[in-house]
Amino acid sequence: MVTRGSRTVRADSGSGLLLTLLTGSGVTVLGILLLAVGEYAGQQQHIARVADSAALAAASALDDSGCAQAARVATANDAELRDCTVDGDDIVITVSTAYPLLLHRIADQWGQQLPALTASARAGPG
Amino acid sequence: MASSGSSDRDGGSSHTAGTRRGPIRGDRGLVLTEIAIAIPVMIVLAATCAWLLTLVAAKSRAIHAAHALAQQIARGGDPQVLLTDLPGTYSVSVEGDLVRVEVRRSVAAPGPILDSLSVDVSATAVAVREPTW
Repeated sequence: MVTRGSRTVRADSGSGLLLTLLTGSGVTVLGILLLAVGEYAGQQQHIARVADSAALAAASALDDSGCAQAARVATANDAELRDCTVDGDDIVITVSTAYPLLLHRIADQWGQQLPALTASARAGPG
Repeated sequence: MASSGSSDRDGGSSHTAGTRRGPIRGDRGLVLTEIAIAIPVMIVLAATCAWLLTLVAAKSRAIHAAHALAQQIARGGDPQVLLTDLPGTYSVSVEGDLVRVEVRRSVAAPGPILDSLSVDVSATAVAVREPTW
């Protein structure tokens, strides 16, 4: 009787607070994940456009400085040039983000390694 | 919450017996009070999540707009055609052959009280001015 009674009291009186804490932390985690995934998606979009700009800059360089131009564009856009290959008349550029994103840091906490965001673009003389 | 019926039948619980006597015991209504506090907290958290979604969307639009403008200016085009659906304000700075465009927009917090609270969302894009020949 006594144990039943005390168990009832414990389940009853704390349940509201417990519910609040559980749901609250759940929603907070959801919010952080939302922010992380949003940043990831935004940076994916950004890095794709940077690759685009870098490839255009490299293709419009008149001399052999195409890859140097691409590197300049990438650096100016908070990205780094990973690869720059000349393919016939075209030039193929691969860039990646220069800093770890929120999602990378979250994955780090769980011992996981997320690859850096990369994007490629090709451009040639029109 | 659902166990209130059984707690009626059980003997007076030791920790509430001292605070109240009679048919209504101390833990009756406590859950209601806790829920009454919890619901506003939940509403605020949900509103914050919705606001984060707005921020993320605004950031995405700003990134897109900044790159579109930078590339348009770099190829010598008229930026005016892109300004119709520009989210917020933009600034252009030219450093040598680099065109740097920054798009900035302030996103207000939801609700009537927090309206004055706003966060600036900005995106920067750099493109190389194409040679003109």
